[in-house]
Amino acid sequence: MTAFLQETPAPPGAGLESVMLSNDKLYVVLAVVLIIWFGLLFFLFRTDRRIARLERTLDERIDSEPPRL
Amino acid sequence: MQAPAIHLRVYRVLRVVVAVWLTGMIVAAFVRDVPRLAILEHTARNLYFHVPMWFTMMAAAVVSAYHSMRYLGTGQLVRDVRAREAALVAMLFGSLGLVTGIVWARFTWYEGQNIWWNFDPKQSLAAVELLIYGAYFVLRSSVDDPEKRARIGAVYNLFAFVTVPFLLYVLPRQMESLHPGAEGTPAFSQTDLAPVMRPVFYAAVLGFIGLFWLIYTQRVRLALLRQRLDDHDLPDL
Repeated sequence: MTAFLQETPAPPGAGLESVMLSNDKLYVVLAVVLIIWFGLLFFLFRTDRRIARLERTLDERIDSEPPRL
Repeated sequence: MQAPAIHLRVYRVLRVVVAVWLTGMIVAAFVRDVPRLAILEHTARNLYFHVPMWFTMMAAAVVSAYHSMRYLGTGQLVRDVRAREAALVAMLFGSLGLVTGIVWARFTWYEGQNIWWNFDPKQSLAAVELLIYGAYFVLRSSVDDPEKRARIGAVYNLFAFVTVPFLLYVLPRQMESLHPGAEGTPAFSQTDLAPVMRPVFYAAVLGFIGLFWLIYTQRVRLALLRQRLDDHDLPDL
């Protein structure tokens, strides 16, 4: 029973894990940073799309005059 | 003189370039080797993220000051919009630079001392710099007339810009600071920055300045959109 509960360490060199655990687990940080970066990029692109949609709505419903600045 | 327009096609190309460029830079920042020095250890990689924040802040301040100067020359309010948005993004990157510096210092300069902030001249003056830019927005919000606001804002913004090199470079070097670069220019020095780290560092500076440009352009676009609504007395977004 106790033997069953004990975690069996992954055999060395097992694919993804061997990469992620190497170099003081530095690549885990890389994975986290990349997830954040892609999340932010997704936001940037989506906001662009929304602004473009608003610009089109204004062009169609009011006029396509540039702002009076 | 024609007011600057937003070139959407250029923007879209740049957007993809920056996305790919910074992704590659982030991967390189972790995968490439860095010299393992005592105290610094892996935090040397912070160089790729913390320092470009300040380079980007300065690039944004240059763009902002340029448009303020052009506003004073032309009186085009769109210049004022651009100066304002660039200054805002400058503050964003400056704040990120300050906060990342605090975290980095906590675990290197002040390792084992549980100090987050110790009024190091470099950090204190950087904080003052952000307050000077913050005052630009306070000043703007206190003037109602758009032309007057733009003119006063432009003059103040040029003053704020002039303080940047002094507060971020000249003065901290006259005082005792733990920050690197007390002698010479660390970013371009032949001894302070290991050659193996140079390509990624320069790529990061360019990439984050590109990212500034994207955020800045997006904000200008939004500001122009809101101005159009205002022109028609329509409610703001």
